[in-house]
Parts: sequence; C-alpha cells; structure tokens
Amino acid sequence: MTNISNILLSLLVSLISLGSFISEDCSGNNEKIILIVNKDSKRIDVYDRNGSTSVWVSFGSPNLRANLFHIPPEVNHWEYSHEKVEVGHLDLAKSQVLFAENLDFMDWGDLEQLGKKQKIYMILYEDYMSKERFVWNKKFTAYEVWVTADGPI
Amino acid sequence: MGIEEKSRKVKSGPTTLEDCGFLQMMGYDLECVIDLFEIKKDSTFIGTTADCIYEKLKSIDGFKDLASGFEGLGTEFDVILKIGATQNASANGQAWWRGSNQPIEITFNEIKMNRSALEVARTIVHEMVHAELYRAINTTNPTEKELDFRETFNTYVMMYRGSADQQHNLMADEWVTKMGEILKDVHQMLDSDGYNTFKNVYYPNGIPDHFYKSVAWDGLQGTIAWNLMKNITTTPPIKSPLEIITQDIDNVKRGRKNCL
Ligand SMILES: [Zn+2]
Repeated sequence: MTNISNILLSLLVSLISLGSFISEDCSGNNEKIILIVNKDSKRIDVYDRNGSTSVWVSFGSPNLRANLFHIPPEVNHWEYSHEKVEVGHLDLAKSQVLFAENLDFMDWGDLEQLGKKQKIYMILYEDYMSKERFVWNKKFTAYEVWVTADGPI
Repeated sequence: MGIEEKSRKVKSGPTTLEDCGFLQMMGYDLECVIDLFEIKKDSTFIGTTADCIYEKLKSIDGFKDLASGFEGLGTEFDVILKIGATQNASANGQAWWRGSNQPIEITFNEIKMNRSALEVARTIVHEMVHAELYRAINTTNPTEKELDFRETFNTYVMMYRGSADQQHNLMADEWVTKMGEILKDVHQMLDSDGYNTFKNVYYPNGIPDHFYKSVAWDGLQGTIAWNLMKNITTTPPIKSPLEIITQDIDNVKRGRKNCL
C-alpha cells in the first residue's frame, strides 16, 4: 500500500470512529482510546497546575461535569504516574479516536468505567490538527489521562 | 437497634435486644450491647473503605450532631447505609425517603467508590444531611428547633416550587460551612501520612479552610447560592471564588484513597 493510501485509510478509520459509541476493547490488540481535546471549545477548560494537566468538560446541566487529568511521573504522585507516548497515523488508525467536545455525559460515564480496565489518552486538538498532520511520519503526543464523570449527589 | 458482640462486629446476627436476650437464654455466649447509632449498615457496606470513613466520621462532633436525630433508643427513623446501584447511574450517592415506617436508605454508587477518601467522606456527609432533612421534615414529634426548621424549609419549598432541588438550596445556604468543618476534622484521621503528602504537594503552607468548603460545595452546583457565587468576578491575579473552588475540587480528586 502506498503512503497516501495508508494516510487515507487512517483518516477514514478516524472519521468512522468520530461519531461512534465507545466500545470496550475485548480483542486484546491494544486498541487505544484517544480523546482529542480542544482547549478552544466553550465546553472545555484546560488547566496546567502543579506540573500536571486538568481538563473540565461541562454539559447543559450544572450538576453534570467530566474531568480528566494527566499527572506525569516527574510529579512523584502517590497514585498516578501517567505516560506520555508518541503515536503515528497507524496507531491512530488502530485506535478509537473521540472528540471530547462531541461526547455526552453518558459517554464520559462509560469512559470512567473503561478507564478502570484500559488506558485512555488525550491528544491536544492543536497537535492533532497541526499543519503536519498529513505528513506520513508525523507523531502526535498522547497523554495518558484519568477520567471521572460526576453527576448529582 | 444494632446489636454487637462485644469483641467483634457481626455482619449478621440478632437484630433486636429481645432476639439477643433469647439467644443468651439458649446458651449462646453473646453479649448484647446497644449501639446507640440508629444508623444501620447493610452487608454491602460493612468492611468497605466507605465503612472505615464512616466510622472515622462518627467521632467528629459536627457529624455526631448531624447524626444525633437518629441516635438513641426508639428513634422514629432509621437510616440504612448500602453500597450498590443508584437510581441515577451517574450519581455518587442517593438518600431515599421511602415513607414514615421505612428506614431512610442511603446508597453509595458502587461504580463511583474509587474516589479519594475525602470525596467519599463528602458524599457520606452530603447524604446524611439529606437524611437529616427528611427526618426533621417528617418527624411527628418536632422540637422547637425542628419547628423553626420546618418554617425555613417551607420557605424553600415555596421558593423553589417545582424544583427538585429544595434540599440542595437549603444545604447550600445553611450547611456548606458545617459540612466543610466536618471534612476538615476528618481529613487527617483518614490516613495521616496521606494527609501530609497531600498537604505538601497541594497546599504546602497548610490546607486552607476554603479547600474543605469547596469540597462541600461539590454536588450543589446549580443552586441559587452557587449561581450567585459563580458570577463573582475578580481582577487577576486575585482568583474568583469559582476558580478557587474548581482548583480545590481538582485537588481533592487527586487525594489518597486510603482509610487506615
Ligand atoms: Zn444531594
């Protein structure tokens, strides 16, 4: 397969996965869940604090919110040591790529549960949509994150 | 009435003093002790981290006050603590008023228990306030204080007619400070090493009172008091109340999960 058709294939797979529901990886082929996080979205706030990154997603109701955070090993946190990995087009093609701003609260609830069993990553929108995105060997930076979704209590 | 064997807690066993006395008569080596807390634990709750956190809360004065309406012999209402599925799958917990002759059921959402210990403590306190509000509204023997409270509550019912959030509005106005104080008192007791490492990383100058109050605010978003607070703006570098709360809630999520 040529490079071009590889890229087209990966884009096609990414596009197909955009609107799809989140599924559990039962195949054991290390399929990753990758969230594309757009800092400029009205529903999304990104904070960099204490050497880690925190993302808040809001919904129509004030009692619903999702949070994800990335705490790198340098922080020496007692609970979390999240990895940062480089992923290429082929990795993306094998992953479930989801746009954070398109997910509803129930999707985040599912992600919270899936996150107990498999790793979830975040790629920043500006990286994902950068000019070099069509360069075949472009690497995107994926940050492992911990996801929670909080409803009313 | 909770009956405990003196030396160990029993998951199941005699549930009334009469039953216990009967078993004694039958020759069982059992000491019947009345547990003054009329807050019962379901078997799903016993021995969990939430149970450990609840036991620590019981020694805090503010929590004792909160629970006192359910304390003592022959209290009108019982509370039962459970861990399982909540009606709303996304809720951290729920307090369910099932009618006058039924215990108030507090269920902590099983799939949401993997939170920091202080968040679980917050959920326990929050649900206990709901239980206390149900009790004070429904008691047939109201004290003067409870009658006063009913008047206040009725105003809330009037003000928030049609909204299911009367209790949350009342909580936001009257309880947030007390809830914050309880959380402050219990934090160090949950895991003292964990407390120290948390403090050193997130609040090296000492954990401020606003941290605990912020934690208590979680779950009360959307109330009138919250909306008023949310709209307060400040000039940087001074942080707005909403920024402070968001940061505090961010931090509590990273806290230790242990209860030792
Ligand atoms: Zn509530």
